Amino acid sequence: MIKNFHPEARLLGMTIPPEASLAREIAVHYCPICIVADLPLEEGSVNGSSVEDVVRQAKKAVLTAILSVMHKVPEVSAGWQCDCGKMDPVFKILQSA
Amino acid sequence: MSFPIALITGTGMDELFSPKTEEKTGLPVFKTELKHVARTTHGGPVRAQIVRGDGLEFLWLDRHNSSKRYCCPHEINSAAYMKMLYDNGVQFIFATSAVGGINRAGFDRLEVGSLVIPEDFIDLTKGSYTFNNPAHTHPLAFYRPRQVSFALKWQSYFQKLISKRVEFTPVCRDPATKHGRKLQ
Repeated sequence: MIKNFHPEARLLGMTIPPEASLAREIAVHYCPICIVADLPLEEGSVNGSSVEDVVRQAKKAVLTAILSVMHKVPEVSAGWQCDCGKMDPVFKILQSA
Repeated sequence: MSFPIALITGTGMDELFSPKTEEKTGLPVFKTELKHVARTTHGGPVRAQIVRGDGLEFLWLDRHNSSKRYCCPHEINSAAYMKMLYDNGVQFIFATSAVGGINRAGFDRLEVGSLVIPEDFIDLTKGSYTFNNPAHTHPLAFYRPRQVSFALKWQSYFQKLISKRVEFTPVCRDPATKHGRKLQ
């Protein structure tokens, strides 16, 4: 159904939209990394119990990537203009209003 | 104390930074310290860990709270922990998420176990994910143009790191043509 309505959609998830929307309001740079745990439109691919196993197997690669990027934060963030188009955090605006 | 970096992990990533995990993965040794916030202005409690090691110090949060009572995605109070992260001075959030792959278009190879860096999202739940509430009414504070959902420059770093694992061509919607274009 989703593929019919949104042919360009490639991944299906449940937890990123709330965090991404709220991150924009608090002006935080939000970087998600997704692990493809199954291919639900392909027969025989879906097995709920194996989702955690897949993620556990990818754990090292994911963590290594995240820790490497974390090390770059001080270096890259200094004097760097992000392209997120972030405004001031809403709580800062509310305080000054 | 302020923590500029936070890590939010999802399904299957609950046993991180423990001696057991470090033995298996060969990752650097980290020390963790529980940070429990009973209540924020947007709910709670929030249970996080302060992680220190390998020259890093950051907050780590398991969004499903797997070590206690597992929170299903619809039960997660994102506003509570995002507010807690804001209160702790977080400026960068790295997040993991287990997803389903529903379309191989644009991928040279997409299989179970692939790591993918998303460039945008469509929310079909019609959920109103905002800190706005009657106590916080303001004419402009909550307006945010939705040009780019994620921090794409950081995403490109991720992309370089994982490119050996999955070849992924990020595509950005061109506002002029409404067609996808390759990001340079």
